[in-house]
This record gives sequence, structure tokens and C-alpha cells, in this order.
Amino acid sequence: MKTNLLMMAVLSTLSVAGVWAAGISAYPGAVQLTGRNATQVLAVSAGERDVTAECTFELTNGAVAKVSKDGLVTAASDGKSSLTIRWKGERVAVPVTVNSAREEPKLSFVKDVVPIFTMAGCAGSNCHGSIRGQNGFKLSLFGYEPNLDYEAIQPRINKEQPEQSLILRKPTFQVPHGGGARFTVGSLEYRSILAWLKGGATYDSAGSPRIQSLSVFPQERTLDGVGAAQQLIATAKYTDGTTRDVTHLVQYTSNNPDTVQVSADGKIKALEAGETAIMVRTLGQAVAAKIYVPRSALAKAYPRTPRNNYIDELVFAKLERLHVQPSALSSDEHFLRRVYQDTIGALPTQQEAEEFLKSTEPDKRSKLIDRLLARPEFSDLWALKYTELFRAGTREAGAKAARFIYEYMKRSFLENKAYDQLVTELLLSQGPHLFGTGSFWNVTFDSNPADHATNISQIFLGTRIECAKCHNHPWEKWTQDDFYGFAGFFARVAIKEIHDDDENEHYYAEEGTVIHPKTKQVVTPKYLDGGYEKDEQEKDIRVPLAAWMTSPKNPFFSRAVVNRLWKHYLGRGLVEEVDDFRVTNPPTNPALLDALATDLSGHGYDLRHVIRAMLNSRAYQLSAEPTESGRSDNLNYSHYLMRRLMAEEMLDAISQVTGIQEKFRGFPPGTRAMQVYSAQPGGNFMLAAFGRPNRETICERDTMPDIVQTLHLISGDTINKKVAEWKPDPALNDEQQLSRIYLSSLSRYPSAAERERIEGDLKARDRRAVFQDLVWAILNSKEFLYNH
Amino acid sequence: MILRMRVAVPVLMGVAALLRGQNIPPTRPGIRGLFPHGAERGTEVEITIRGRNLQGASEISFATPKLKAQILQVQHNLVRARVHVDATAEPGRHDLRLIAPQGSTIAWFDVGTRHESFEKEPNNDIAHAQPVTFPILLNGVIQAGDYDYFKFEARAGQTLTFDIAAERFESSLDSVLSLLDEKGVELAYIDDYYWFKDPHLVYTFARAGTYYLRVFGTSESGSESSDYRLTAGEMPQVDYVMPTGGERGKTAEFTLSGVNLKTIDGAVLGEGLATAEVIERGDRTAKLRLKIPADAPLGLQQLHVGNATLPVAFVISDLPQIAVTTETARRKDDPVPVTLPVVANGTIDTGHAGHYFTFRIDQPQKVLLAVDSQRMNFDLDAIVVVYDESGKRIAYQDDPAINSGKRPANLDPHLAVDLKAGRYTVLVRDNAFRGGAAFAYRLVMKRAEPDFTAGTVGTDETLFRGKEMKVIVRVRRLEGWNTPVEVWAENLPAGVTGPAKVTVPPAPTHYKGTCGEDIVLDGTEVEFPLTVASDAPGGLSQIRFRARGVMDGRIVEHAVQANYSWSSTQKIWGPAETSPLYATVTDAPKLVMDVPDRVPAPRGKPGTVKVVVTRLDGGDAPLELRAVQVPAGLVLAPVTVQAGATLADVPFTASAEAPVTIVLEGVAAGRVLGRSHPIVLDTTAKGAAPKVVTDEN
Repeated sequence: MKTNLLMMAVLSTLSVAGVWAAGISAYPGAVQLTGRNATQVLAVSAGERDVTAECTFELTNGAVAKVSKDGLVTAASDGKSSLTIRWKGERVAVPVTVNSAREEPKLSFVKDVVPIFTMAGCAGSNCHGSIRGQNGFKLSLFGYEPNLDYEAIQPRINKEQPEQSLILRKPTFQVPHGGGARFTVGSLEYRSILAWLKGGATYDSAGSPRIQSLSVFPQERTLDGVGAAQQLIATAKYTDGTTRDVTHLVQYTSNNPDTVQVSADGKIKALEAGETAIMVRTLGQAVAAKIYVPRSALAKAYPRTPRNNYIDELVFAKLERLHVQPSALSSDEHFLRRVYQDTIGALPTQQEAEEFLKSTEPDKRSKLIDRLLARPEFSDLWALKYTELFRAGTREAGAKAARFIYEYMKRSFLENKAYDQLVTELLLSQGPHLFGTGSFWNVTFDSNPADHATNISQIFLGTRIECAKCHNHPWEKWTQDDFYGFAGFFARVAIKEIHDDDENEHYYAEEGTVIHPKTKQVVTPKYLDGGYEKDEQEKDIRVPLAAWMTSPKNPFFSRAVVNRLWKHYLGRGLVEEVDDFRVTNPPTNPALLDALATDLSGHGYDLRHVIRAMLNSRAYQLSAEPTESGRSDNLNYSHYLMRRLMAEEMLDAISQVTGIQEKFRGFPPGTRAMQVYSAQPGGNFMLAAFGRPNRETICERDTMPDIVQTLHLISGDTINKKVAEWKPDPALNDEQQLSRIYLSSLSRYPSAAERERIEGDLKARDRRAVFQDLVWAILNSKEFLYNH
Repeated sequence: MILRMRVAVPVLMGVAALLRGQNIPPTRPGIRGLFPHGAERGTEVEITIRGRNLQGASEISFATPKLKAQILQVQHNLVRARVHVDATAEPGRHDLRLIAPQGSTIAWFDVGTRHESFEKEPNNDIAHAQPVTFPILLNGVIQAGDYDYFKFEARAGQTLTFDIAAERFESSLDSVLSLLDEKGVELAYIDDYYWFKDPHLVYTFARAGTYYLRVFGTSESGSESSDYRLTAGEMPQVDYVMPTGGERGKTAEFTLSGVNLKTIDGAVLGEGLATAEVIERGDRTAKLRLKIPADAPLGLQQLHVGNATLPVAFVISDLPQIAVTTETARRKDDPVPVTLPVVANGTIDTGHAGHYFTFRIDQPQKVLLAVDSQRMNFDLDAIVVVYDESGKRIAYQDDPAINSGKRPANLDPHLAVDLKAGRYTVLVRDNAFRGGAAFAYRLVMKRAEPDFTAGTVGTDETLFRGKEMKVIVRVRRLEGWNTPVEVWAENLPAGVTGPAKVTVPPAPTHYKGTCGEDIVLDGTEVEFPLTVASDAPGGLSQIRFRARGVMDGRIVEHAVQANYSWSSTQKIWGPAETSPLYATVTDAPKLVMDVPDRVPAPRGKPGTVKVVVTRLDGGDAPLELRAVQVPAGLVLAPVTVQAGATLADVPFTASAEAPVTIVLEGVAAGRVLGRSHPIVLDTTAKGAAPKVVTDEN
């Protein structure tokens, strides 16, 4: 039943996204103008194409308003009119209402002046909005605290001679200004500030409307190829219920200006195929418009790609929208090696490879996926990844506590513990370092509520709120109140030293508070984007916190974890970085992210269920060889994204191929690299060189190649010592030995050319030397070092 | 004698002492390892003691006459002795005191009731695992990077107990225990078993088959002093007895909880104080009937359940006892009614549970609400909360003071609170809302009777002629004691004098934690100075301290109890078997040289002996370090150490085939100030000395 509902949701999404609407439409559908010279920007669309510049505009009553050639409507006198818009034989009518057209509107500092600081870049984090301000003048970041901005500009205004105010002369560069000219004398911005100054330069009275929300049109749009343009329209909604066109009062930023360019007045232009988000900001509000630029004109017959499940529906729908053709299905050999490495972090053995390759069962891939998900190495891999996120072993209890939390995570994955239960147990963990999940707090964090809030939100909610610890968040809606409200949940998570210096006990204290650094008041615990929770005696407030976090209604929890899983298996998160969910960093495929999250919460937070869906999807099983149209695609999974093996995977693979185990200092013989749980890499240089993190931060590990890695592979101890010790099996003939080497390392048989080359070498050189050279060469090859 | 088996337990006795006050490096004996660390009753065993400053050791003594020792061999870092254990000696840990002219020191010797066996190397992997059958008490040593594997058979459904005793006996081994299946896959592991770092594992085998036990050091640490005693088998394991104590002169029934209890045939309280009769037994629970003699000593005892791995704590009291369950006591609006005085016993067996009690007092009084859990080796880190009739919280206590790894922790609340007449509700819960079978407690609820305890930290010290030494005495105030306590010394040796008394003020001692944070001690520490005459006769004597205080017109006097030195690593703390401080009067050294026992000396390559020099002669003439005698095949040049310098490298080049031994001496102004112990220059070593991996993360 749940699957059916999910598919209905998917199909519903597709029908909206894929239909070419007939005729034209205008945004907004009705124009309401209040005050003298009030304006409204119009955007006319034919389907997803912005045809505003190709339209003609005609008002039935020209006395009420004026309309420019590009669709800007300006109030003239009170009354009603109708705006007829024509385009290639199509037409649409937009009602226009003008009120108070003769009244010079009393300009509001909050509504009219502060947005200019943001739009002009003055209130940005690199200018006066930085935490220390700029050259002695500090504005709140993106106008978040207009009362402070008002105080800040007082020395810079001249009520007697408003034109002489520095607040006008500096940004217009009439006097030297480090930030250069931000607008010109006589511009709308200039006139607005001047009018406010002449009006008395007062602060808004108590109860004056404040901006409540910001929206942008269109929220999502596929442009009609390179060169296409689109007008963005920003609308502010205020606390008194009114709305206003603020298209010219907001700041626009393209997340990918090489793909889509945006002008100060909200006009965007496609420069190359791709996609981006346009950030729109004012007064501490931020929204994003998702813009796609397809490669070329819509293909008449986009090839139908087989779908295995809902994931494919959503991945391929997006690709179709971008006119990108997905790659072919990967070969069995590639799939085999890929799914082993991704799922259990280990290579298939020769026998496992042979059995899979010779199998003719039509569902052999899904059966293999099931077998791998049941392997204990699956748990080793995820226990290691989470132990890393928890920074296990870097804190006071050291290796002992690292092992304890590693074993707890491993056991949890082995049991297939529901993810919500797992996180709940961690949040409620307590006690000394070797009790229950006690080591979670002990190894993970500095023991203060602010750090707990920062790390819990980043790891489990995919949200970075740390900036708001010191100031309101520059790119997001999180405020200091939000941050300290969330920290309030951890006010009573306390620590006591009960043994010697490295072993502490975390407990839930009878009392504990968080003091807001600005208000100096005790904060009431507050959910992110939610309500307050009263902290009471005899109540562990982490219990309701865990319930809120793990609720299917929580917008962060499921999305954060499926995004982590997706990144691991598909090579790139739907949101990148995986722990940086925010409005201005939208997912590349929101429908897919939502569907995965719904699938997880709808199936009892069974991680294996979602992983199984991912692995069984055709999207996962695509070849790493891109199609012509997919060559530049790194965002939409048109092909498998090759990845270098993790340090531990690589070392284990080398050990497995050569049959010579690595010994890690402090760990029993037979321990695989994937089982080295401590913060220190067991004295192993290769693990450190290949990006095993030192766990100083909770960020994802760095898998970028570098010269040290290359040199170590070529001339370092790891491969060379093992290869020198390795010898061919005398019980095998050359053909069998050759197959063994290829199957055990690359999960395939040697090609004819490879076979021919080795056979030639064997005739000329010592057998052991030839095969050792071959093993060395394979272990140094990209085919071995990468998952593909 | 009270057996202190599971933990070197803390703090209710709350006292400590330590000699301080001089900058003289330790010159008295120090024991680093002892092997084997025990013997079966009625047997004789040869033991090896490893340590430092052992030269001249003349005697090994025990508090009980049922243990005797004869020294066989003495070196500066090793003593061999034969220990005879009488067949009637009490099982458990006994103080072993090694006596030398430069001082005395304590170690522990375990008297067992099982046949003792030993590990046999090589047993470093599954292929070489040593076969064992149960029950077993096995002695082993873990070297750096060493693994000891043992192979055994288990039946399906069989529950076996594995217990390692190492740090409990001050072995330097921080051990880990793993259980492996026949393929070597780890089924279970245990590192630290809560309070002490020794592992303890109870495991039920689902399948019959061959299994392996692996013993090793945390992070592959180990040394020749890292010994352990492994007890394993299908033996009873008692988690707790409920109630956790009994009333003197009464007969009562007690319930044991644990595993393998169906085989128990009885239990003995303490050193034969009473014998319990089994009236019901199953695998997980058993019932005992026990009559506690009217003259039994009050306080903590151990209940020795027949053949069990470990004894279980049991408190003898004069107060009535009740036992509650979470089912009956978990509701604040329906607390268990009690009448003071009473001891409530229970187990917080589930998370987020608490037990509530209610009582009425008719007159204002100070009421004691004290929990015993941690000191009985249970896991509960209790918090006590008091509510008035309206449900308002009026008092609570988690720990009596701020704990720190720098002192023995005390997690058991001891709340003395002034209450008006009325009804009150008391909550006891885990401070972290945990729960489980090992979360048992005793909550004493009674009118407070102010009292104190006093003790010295350390059991043995050396007093140097012509010096002033300071003994630290710690006083812990109980049940609301709030007046000063006077401490004085008795039986001082000839030539040693001290003040008539030292007053301990009724204010806790403050000290700094690792990060400079303020820590408050659960008690007050004072220094008791002892002045040693320059002609004081040498030798060993026993100094007795006493403490006395007056409160509300009542005089309270106690003997000051010598306590084991607190070791933050090994958690050894608690009263020694004997209460006096063992003091050796001797000459202060003029020179102390800290040198290694052995130095790698590859033939023909230059090397150095690193020496830490402490001069105590007061002179400022340069000090020459030289070999007393330079053996053949060694070139060693004297070095000069200027006054004030503390480090010196003595260079040498050895060419001898076999290792050579040297002794360094320090000479200043033509006078020999002191000599080092023998140093072996190991000419068979290749390159640097092997690195010993320690548990430093």
C-alpha cells in the first residue's frame, strides 16, 4: 500500500513537471498598487519560457496606471483597470487596482530602507554586515536586526541637510568609500533613503509591520536552453498581511554564475547547460529559485529508459527534463565489484566473482544485494563511518571508548536496529564511558550545551547551525534564539570525573540552564523550526527531543540520513555537503529526496530497506561511462560517479588480493582496516595518507587524490612489501593463475590482449617475477583503485 | 577480616594519609609486579616480586599468621620468595608487606580455593591456543603486544563466567578479554568492568562447540609485570542479594540474583560470621536464610556464596530493613510509606525509573538520607531528592562533593537535611536515568547522628633523619558533623616528635582539577608534621594516629585508619588490614640517581646511560659520575654534572660479546655521595630498545 502511494506521488510530480501548458500566463495574476509611484514587475510565461519581452501590454484605463514595454506597472491614480497582455495570438488579462496613488507613502525604515542595505551589498558578511563591521560601521547581517541598524546609522545622517548624510554620500561615492559606488544619485535606492530622511528619519513605531516571509517567482524553472532569460519577481509578505513587490529591493546571487547569471534587478540569463539556485535575500529572509538549463532543444523522442523502482522514475524524469540521456546498464563485472565495495567495503573473492559471473539467473543482482546486506562487513563499514562522525577516540576516554561506541554501532547495524531507535538511544545515552551508549557523549563532544546542539544538528539533522551561536545565520533562517533554544535541550547533560583524568561519566543533572549570551536570560528549550518544550524536574527533556527529532514529520531527520546513504552509494549527495541542508542550498532532486525520506520513515526507519532500493535502482547500476549528453553531468546521476576507494577499502583490498594481512598497532592480528575504530590509524601510514580523518571535525572525509598517495602506491611499503612476499600458486597453471589474479582484484577475466601480453612475458621471464609485476601493476591501476 | 575483592572500595571510611614535604625522590621499595599473585589454600608457592629499591629486602610479612614467607633471593629490582598458605587461611586479598632498611611497602596476595594453573607460551594465536577445562584459576603474564589464547569446549545453553583479576592486585595490566568462536570471530569482548578496569564476562553459549578466550592488554600494552589471574567456569555469579544487608541478631530471608545459582549449596558471611542456608534455588535466583549474630560487627561485609566467582557485598546494621521493587515504589503519588529509622533496599531495574518513599516526622530534626551503592560495587550512581508535602523539591544531592580523578570518587549521596515536622517524600534514582540488574542500593533514612571518620593516605613511609615529614590526615564528616576534629599521634618512634595535636577545621578542602577547575574534597585534609632527630635510631615502627571531636556536648573519638595509597589508575583505595602507619627511620640519601635497569648497547656503537640526578648533600662542588668498576670490553668516560643540573648522559662504547653490568657512583669534592643500582649494558641488542606500547591515547 505504501509503495502504491509512493508511486502515485511520483507520478503526480511527473505530470506537473512534464506538461507543456498551452497559452500564456502572467505573474502576478492580479496587480495591487498602493501609494504614489508604486510599481509591480510582471513576468509572462508561455509554458516555462519567459516571453515578457515579446509581449505587448495595454491598459483599459491608462489614467489609473502606466505600463512600460517590459511590463513594469506604475501607479498613477486611484481606480481599477485591466491589463491585456498579447503574445503571438495568445492573450491574458490581469486586473490592476490602485489605491492612495496621490499619497506620498510614509517610508518605513524597516520595509524601505533596510532592504536597500541588503540589496546594495552593504549588509553582507563581507562588508558592514560582518561580525566586526567595516571601518567602524556595523550593520546587522542582511538586516536581521533593523533596530541595531537604526542606531548604527544615526551618526551618518544629517536631518538638517539630508542630501549631506553620509548614508547617501558614501554609497553614491560622493565621498571616498572603501566599498565603492553601490547606487547612483537619483536612483530608486537614493530617492527612497532621501525620502525617508526628509520624512523625519524615524524608526518604525511599535507594532509596525515587519517582513514575515519572502517568496520568489518562479521557484523552479527550466530555461529554454543557453541564452534564455527569465525575470524573477520577489514578493514580501508583512506581518499585517500585506504583500509588496520587492523585486528591486532584494539581493540576488547565483550559486553557479558560470551557468546562470543574475542581474541586480532579478533578470537571469542562461550561459551554459546545467543548473543552479538563485539566492534571493532581504531582511534576514532568504529563498532560492531553482533554475535548470537543458543541454539542447527538447528532443522529439527521448529514449525510454527501463525503471526498476521509484528512484529511477525520479532520477530519469529529471534527466529527461535536462535532455540528458542516462548511460547504459553497467556490466556484470563492474556491478559486481562496485556493489561489493559500496556495500561491504571489500572485494569479491575469486570464487564469489566466478559464481556471480557465470550465473544466468535474471534476478542475480538483487539476490546478491540481499546477501551483501546480510554480511557482517556491512555493519563494519557503517559503524566506522558513524564512529568517524562521532569523532570517537579523540576525546578523553580515548581508544577504549572509541571501541565501545564502535561496537555499539556495529551491533546496531547488525541487528538492523531502526534508525529512529538508534538515534534515540544515542540521544538518551548516559553513564560512564563503558556503559550502554555512555561513550557517545564521552567520545564525541566537548561537554557543553552549545557543542551538543551544534553537533547533534549537524550529524542527525544535516543542518549547520553553529554560525548562529555568535550571530544570526548568514545564509539561513537560524537565529541566535534558535541556536540557544536548541542548546537548551542539553542544558542538563552534565559530566563528572569519576575515575582518573581520561574517564568521565555523563549524566542528566537535576538542574542546568543555558543563558542566552545577548539577553542574559535563561532560555526555554526550543525545537528547530518548532515550538518550545518546558524543562521540568524529574523529566528528561531529551526524551521529547528524541521524539521530535525522529518523528516522520520532522523535515530534517529522514532527509539527512537518506542523503548520507545516497552520497555513499551514488557518489554525490542530493544535498552537498551532506550536512548542510538549507533553503539556499536546495537538493538537486527534491522529489527524490522526499521520496527516499518517505520510504525510510514509512518502513520503520529500516536503513537496509532504503539501501536495498538504492542498490536495486537502475540509476545505481548505470555504467560509469557517460553518454555524450551526460558527459558534463555530475549532479543528476546520469552515470555512476567513479570514486576512489576509501583508505580502509583500498588497504583491505590490497591485503585481500595478495593474501598478506596488515597488522595494525594496538589491534589483534586479523583486524581489517575497516575495523580499526580508533582515532589513530593503528600506526599505518597508508590510512593516514589516503584521507582517513583525524576526527578533529565531524565533516565527511576527504577522498581527493594527491601526490603523496601516488608516490606511496608506486614506491611505498604497502604494495611493494606485499607484492614482494606474494607468490603465485604452484598448483595453478598460468591460465588459472592469471584468472585468479584478475578475478580477485578486478572481478573480471583478463581480456584477450592482456592474456596475450602476459603469455608473452611468461615465455621470456621468470614466472614469479611476471606475476608479481602483474599484481603490482594491477594494484597501481585506476581500475583497481577506483570503484567504477 | 573483611575481604575486599571486587573493588578497592571507596570512601565511606573517607580518610587518607600521605607523607609529603620533602623533595627526595622515592628511595623506599616500590613493588611493580608480583607473580603469581596468589596461591591455593594449603599450598606453598614461589613468587617473584619485581620493583625498584628492593635491595636489602630482609622480610616479607603478612597481617595474618596463616601466611608466611621466606625470602630466597634479592636484587635491586627483584625478590624471590616462598609463600606458605595455611589450609585455614581466609580466601581473598591479603596485605603482603616487604621490609627493607630503606623502607617498607605493601602489595597484595590472593588466597584462593581452587587449584592454580599457569599459561604456557607460545599461545599467541588460535593455532597455538592453550587447551583449558573449567573451572580454572590460571595465572598468566601479558608482555607488550602479547596475546594469550585459550581453547575450550562449551555446551549449548551453558553459561560460563570469565573473570580477570589484574589491576585489582595492582598488576600493571589493563586487560581486555575477547570470546571467539571456532573460526576466530569475536563473539564478545569486555574491557573495563565499571569500577575496576579488569574485565568480567558472563556468557551463555547458544551452540555447543569449540571456543577461544583471548586475553591481551588494552592497545597491546603489557610488560613483565603485567600479570593476571583468570577465573573461569560454570560457576555461580551473584549480581546482588536483596535486601543488601541485614539486622543484627535477626534471622531473615535473602534473595540472590545472578546466573548458575542452581548449584549453590550455601554461603558464608564474612570471616565465618554466619552460614546461610539455601531454602530455594533456580538458575537465576535463589533464596537464603541467614541468622546474623547479635555481636556481628556493623558495616560492610562480603557474602561468599559457595563457589561463586566473586563475593557479594552485604551490610550488617542495627536498623530495620525493607526491600521494594520498581513495581511497588515507582510512583511519586503513591510512595512506599516507611517509618524512621529504616533501610530501604531496592534495584532500579529499568531506565527512567525511580523509587519513592514517604515518611512523617513529628518534630523538627536533622534527617540522614544516605545511599550505599557504588561502595557495594553496584552500578547505581544515585541521586536523592526530598519533596515536601506539596510536592515541591526542597533538597537533593547527587554526590557528597565534586569528584575528580585525582581522588577516589564517591558517588553515593550522603544528605543530612534539617526538616520541620511534617510528611516528606524521598526519591532515589540513577542520576543518568539508567537502570539494570546491577543498580541495587541501600537507602538509610534515620535521624542524623553526627560522626566522622579519619585516616591516613598510605600505609608505609620512610622518615629521614634530620628532616621534617608531613603526614596527611583526611577527616570526613558524616551525618551533619560540623565542628573541628583534633588529630594526634601515638607510639612515635624514638627521636621522632610531632605536635600535641593538629586541628582539622569543619570546612572541606579545595583543590584544582586537571584543567584548573575548582574541586571540593569530600572531607578535609590536614598535614601532620613529624620531626626526625638526626640521631634517631633506625628501624621500622608503627605509628598510631587518633582523632577526637566534640559536637552538641558529645565526644566522639576514633582510631585513624591507614589506607592504601590512592592510585588513579588502579582505583586502589580503602583501609589496609592494619590501621597503624608503618614508618622506617633511616638516613636521608645525599644523592639519588634514577637510571634504567638495562640499556641497549650494540657492540662497537657509542651509547649513553641517561641519569636523572638529585643532589641532597647541599654542596655546590661539581659532581663526577663514573663507573665503580669498568668491566673488560667497555669504554666509559666519567662525566661532570655541575651543581644545579639534573640530567646527565654518561657515554660508553661496549665491545664485549655478552652484556656487561656497571654501577655508577657520584663523587663530589672527593666524597662518594651515592651509587646507582646495577645497570646492564646489553651488547646483544640490535638498534634501539623495543618500544613498549602503552595505553596512552
